[in-house]
Amino acid sequence: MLKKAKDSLLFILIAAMILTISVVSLILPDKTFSENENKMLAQLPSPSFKTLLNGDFASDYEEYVADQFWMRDEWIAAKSIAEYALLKTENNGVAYGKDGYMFQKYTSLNETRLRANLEAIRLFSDRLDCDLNMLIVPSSYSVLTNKLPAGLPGVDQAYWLEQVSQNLQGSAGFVELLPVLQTHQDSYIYYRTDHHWTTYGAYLAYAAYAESVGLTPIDYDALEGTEVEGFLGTSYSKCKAFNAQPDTITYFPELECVSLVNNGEEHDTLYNLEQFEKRDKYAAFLFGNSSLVEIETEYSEEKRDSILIIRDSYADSLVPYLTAHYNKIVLLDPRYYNLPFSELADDGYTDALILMGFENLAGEQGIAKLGL
Amino acid sequence: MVFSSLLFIFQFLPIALILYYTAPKKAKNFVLFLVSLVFYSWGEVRYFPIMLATILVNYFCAIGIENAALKGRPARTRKILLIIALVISFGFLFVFKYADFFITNINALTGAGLPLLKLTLPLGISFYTFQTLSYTIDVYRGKVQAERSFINAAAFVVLFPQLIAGPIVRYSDIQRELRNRTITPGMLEQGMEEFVIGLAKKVLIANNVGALWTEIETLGFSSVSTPLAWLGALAFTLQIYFDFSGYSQMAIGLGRMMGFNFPQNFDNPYSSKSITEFWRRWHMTLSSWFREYVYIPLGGNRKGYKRQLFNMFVVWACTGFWHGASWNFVLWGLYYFVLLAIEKAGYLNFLQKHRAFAHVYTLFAVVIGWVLFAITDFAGLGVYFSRLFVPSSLAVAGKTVSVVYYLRNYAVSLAVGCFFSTDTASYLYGIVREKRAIKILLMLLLFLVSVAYLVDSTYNPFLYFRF
Repeated sequence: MLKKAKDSLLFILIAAMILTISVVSLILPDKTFSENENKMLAQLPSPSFKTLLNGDFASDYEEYVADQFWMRDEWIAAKSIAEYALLKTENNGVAYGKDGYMFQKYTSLNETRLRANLEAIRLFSDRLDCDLNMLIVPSSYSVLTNKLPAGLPGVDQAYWLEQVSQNLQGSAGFVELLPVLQTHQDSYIYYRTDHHWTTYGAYLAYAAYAESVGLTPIDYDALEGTEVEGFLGTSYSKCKAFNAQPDTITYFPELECVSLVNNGEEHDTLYNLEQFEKRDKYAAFLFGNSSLVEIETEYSEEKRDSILIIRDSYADSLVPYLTAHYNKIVLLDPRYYNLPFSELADDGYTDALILMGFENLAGEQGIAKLGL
Repeated sequence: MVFSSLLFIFQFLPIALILYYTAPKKAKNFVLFLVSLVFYSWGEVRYFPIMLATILVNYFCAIGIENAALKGRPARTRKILLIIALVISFGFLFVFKYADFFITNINALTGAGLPLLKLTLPLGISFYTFQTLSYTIDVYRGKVQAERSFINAAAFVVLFPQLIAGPIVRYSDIQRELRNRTITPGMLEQGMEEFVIGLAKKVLIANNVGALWTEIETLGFSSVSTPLAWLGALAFTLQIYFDFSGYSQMAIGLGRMMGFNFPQNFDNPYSSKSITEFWRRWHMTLSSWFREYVYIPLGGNRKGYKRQLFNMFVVWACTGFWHGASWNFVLWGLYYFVLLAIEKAGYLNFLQKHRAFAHVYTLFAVVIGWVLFAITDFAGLGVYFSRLFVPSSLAVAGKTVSVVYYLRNYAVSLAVGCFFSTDTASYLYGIVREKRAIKILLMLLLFLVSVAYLVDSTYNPFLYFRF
């Protein structure tokens, strides 16, 4: 018996490993959320006749096994180390640049979708009583050229932003952000581990917008910021690099509001301080991205009356600056907002702004709803 | 279900092996049959009846053929039974794999506008159809006895290790083991070693370099620069080899753990010094199937040179078509027909005298072959070939994606892949594995790292869905 065991030692070791992992994975209670990956984990699917037959149950179940795998985070870290040993410069579509910067790769653009979205924006602009401005945020890889890994391929956003600007001529004012951000690329304007801009990056865009519509931007240096350390963002959630350098989020408690209604929930502040304790810290701004956010600021006759912002999550960290100029700020995310946009035209906004990342402008089907 | 998944390794395999090892000897094939059915039906319950029909038809036809022979019935009876088995087995393969191909071509030629069937391919149908038919044909030829036990016959057809991606195990290969086999501790160890190496080949090398080819597909062939096009072709060349041979090796290892000796399927094909040699070392069980059941029955090389060329043409057109229902696979097969015919006409003698050149030529021809294989539409193929052979002109250069980033990202993975596809690597591993402690540690490490890659996998394709 002992001799037998010795001759099949490799088999016994690996079989024991497999059994241990299987049994422990089964016994441990299922988790619902992964802090490390910032995602909901798959739960045990319940089979139905239909899902058994069409294979949905099988694929859901396989996802469940992977998501609830014992020591999932440690395995992921192990893979990241192995990739590092293979001198890989990316993992799961996130490329590693200099100084700890991570870049989400964006290598193909759906031109048909982009043109359809621009057409919808033109229709939307025609219906509005006020002027429409565009604040399109270039992805970090097209701004931080000094931080890129050599030869990183990516859609040429300078070219496409120029196309967008020309295409919308006469329908919307286009605020050039790329050169503004590029001249400040040595400052901390994008997060290292997240695709968003930092609060300072957002300030640069805000200032450019303010000047283009005849407002005097508030002075950045006059603001007193509070810093939140240890932010690991969306890029980290994808690549989960073991050697990631966490980011610092700055916010300005003095930029405040009277009320903020995010999807029906009312608050009296712009910042969800509890969220700064959690993993997804960027969602602290405006209590996170949702279909409809309405903000009322302290009333002043000096301020403009209202602004409508069609946005994605880039807006979250920019909007606090706008509280100095508008009494009312309404934010709609076309990906989730489902009422006809034509009805908004009657609401009599002073200004209107489309504020979103280039990748969403070019790739999000929801933008087409603007034409409805 | 596929081997390179957490579900297989951590749930299916332990349960299947425990049931199998604890079952009494007489019940082992029954257990094997049951767990194999679960393996096959997982995610594709719909196709369970097709599998059952394939088993029943071949089981009864083979017995019928043998009975007819024993009872001295006219040869016609046996022939009819064989034809029934062939028609039904190939019928399933035709309907599921090739019907839409023919409908599309008929529509294109005649404008008939027939609707497509849009069926998904049952897992491994090309593999198990060939395996099963080898049995019935061999019984017809009197080479093997018909299997009287339904469980044994059924277990042979659905035997899960070799069901979905080869090796194409013939009944005659494992006939004796189906009835009576023993498992020694050495076999368990060896089986696990083969399984882990196969898993690592698939997960650590094939998936890693394969991601490069997928990126190039995403970029669009027209925006690829010439050096990047070559790097992509190399990446696909390595991916298909490590994926396929890894899969075969996992199958062989699993078989060994259960007491079966499956035939080898790959023998470092990229070390070959002619295309003739390449096909003796690549997917060996498929080549030998075609030789045994198509080439030789057609007359092989015994009916003169012209007839031999024709036979080769048929075999290679079929080989190509077997790999997928699309013209590019036929083209790929015929490309090898041409190369093999040229080698046979005397080029082979030249190659044998110029070994270094022979190796370069073979690799070049194989890489070009994989480009034909990888791109299923002719327009894309045209663009890719122009990228390969027409150096991106200055006008195009600014608009194409350079190789720099990809070279930096994939250099080590590609180098590892190149190294491990050589005879030298096999030789070195042969020395290393003599030291048992080192071998065991190495296997544990490979296993753990492979699992880590499976846990965090965003790219783990199953390439044989077309087969």
